[in-house]
Amino acid sequence: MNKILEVSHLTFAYEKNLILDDISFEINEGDFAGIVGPNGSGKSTLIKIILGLLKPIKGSIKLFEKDIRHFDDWAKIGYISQKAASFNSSFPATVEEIVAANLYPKIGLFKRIKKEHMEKVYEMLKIVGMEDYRKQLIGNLSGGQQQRVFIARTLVSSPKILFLDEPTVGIDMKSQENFYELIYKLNKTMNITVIMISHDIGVMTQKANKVLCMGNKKLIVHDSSSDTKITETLAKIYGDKMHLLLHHH
Amino acid sequence: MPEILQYAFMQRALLAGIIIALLCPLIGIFIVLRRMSLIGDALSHVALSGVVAGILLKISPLIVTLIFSVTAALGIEKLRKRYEKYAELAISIIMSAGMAVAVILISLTKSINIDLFGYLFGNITTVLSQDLWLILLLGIVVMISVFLLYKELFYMSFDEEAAALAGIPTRAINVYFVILVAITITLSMRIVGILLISSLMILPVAASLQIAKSFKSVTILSIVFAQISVILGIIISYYFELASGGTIVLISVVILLTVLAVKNIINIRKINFK
Ligand SMILES: Nc1ncnc2c1ncn2[C@@H]1O[C@H](COP(=O)(O)OP(=O)(O)OP(=O)(O)O)[C@@H](O)[C@H]1O
Ligand SMILES: [Mg+2]
Repeated sequence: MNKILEVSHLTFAYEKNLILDDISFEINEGDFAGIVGPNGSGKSTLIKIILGLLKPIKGSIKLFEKDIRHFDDWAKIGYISQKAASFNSSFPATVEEIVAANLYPKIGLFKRIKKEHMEKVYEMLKIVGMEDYRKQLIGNLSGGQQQRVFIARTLVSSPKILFLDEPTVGIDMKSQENFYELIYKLNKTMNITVIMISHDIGVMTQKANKVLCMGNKKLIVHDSSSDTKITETLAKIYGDKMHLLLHHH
Repeated sequence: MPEILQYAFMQRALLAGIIIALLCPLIGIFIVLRRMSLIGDALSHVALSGVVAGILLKISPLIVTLIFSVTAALGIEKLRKRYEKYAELAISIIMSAGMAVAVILISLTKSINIDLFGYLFGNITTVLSQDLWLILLLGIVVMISVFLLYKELFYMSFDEEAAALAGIPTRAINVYFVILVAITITLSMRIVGILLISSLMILPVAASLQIAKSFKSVTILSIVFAQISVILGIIISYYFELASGGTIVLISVVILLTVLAVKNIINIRKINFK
């Protein structure tokens, strides 16, 4: 199996506030990895470091076996941030215009969008089931629909790996289910590696073949080869709150 | 030929006006959507110091202002990086410095120069042919730049982080964009006046945002509204001997109010219909 992401001995702090203390893990091609952990445990921070948006103090990160400091094939990486759902909702752009935006780097500076690009946009909107909304203003869609559009925007540049930061926040139960189905489908049929932050521990332990548990500045990986039970680790990182969470599901 | 077009100065004013009414909304869209309207104000304050310096040194105020405002634009970008979490602070610092220098230079001129008023409020009778050449030349540079960077600027306005991650060179484009803002302000001050330039950048965009169906239509409508404001404004200020900047901006305000009113009426009808 191909190693697609390799994080080793990563340490990170905001100013003097230590967030991640010497964490290591690997993600293989085709993995569906869930990241769980309490608020403030550094989940979003970890993804931002991997994407090169924040600089670590120590440790190394390799994407596609290349150190991120020299990595430049960003079209391979898709990212949907935690705040994607709370963007400027009156932004005057259509669904189609937003999705096409991710093709810009490929089209290149100073060049114009062509018909074949718009066909690709249509194709991706179809995958997420939003093709009928392509002429609508993005602000007029519901949160769940917007999230689908952002998925299409990411897919249009043919990513190999998809980072999702709490993609289902503020989305109703039914749409959440559909959303997880969609991501699952992308993972299985298009072989896109998925790394998803979620507070939905029930779903993560079901769908993901790897669960990265974050807490107390550390990260513990759970997959089929782990000896300890995931509930034990979760109890440790969540403390008392875990009882509530387990009752939930 | 109508009387108004018989004078060379009016021909120059109208030509300059048409160019400016293309530049201001084009730049304005990105300023509004990226919530950068304070930058326009800051660079106008710096422009004022450039104008006074030009008058004092007896060099073309347009050229001096161009140098001042582009330098200030680069300064803002530099400071923005230093105060990443307080981006407005960078703008305020430059704005204060620009205004302070302007006030000191004005006090050096001893008397308030009549020329200065023209720059502050806009004066169509003062577009010299050398000014027109500069406006034409740099105006084309700005327009081509926006045209070529249109899709990148669009993406950055919507989501700068995602744009950077997708591989768009956002840093370089940011610096270049602020320079374009500085140039646009310098070119526009003859017609619109320093005090009102940022209004011409913002009002037509604000009006078109109310009714636009896509980003493309925002762009087109903003230009249409700006053209109406500037051309009509110049004609009215000629016949009634008014300051052109005030007239132009007042028309923009009327357009905005009309758009809002029409939109309201249509919305009320729709509700009644249902
Ligand atoms: N820009 C920042 N500057 C300083 N500290 C920050 C910054 N962003 C986050 N932090 C701190 O870093 C810690 C980790 O934040 P992070 O956003 O990574 O948590 P998270 O696990 O994603 O939480 P959540 O579940 O609430 O999204 C928090 O204590 C937070 O206060
Ligand atoms: Mg987070």
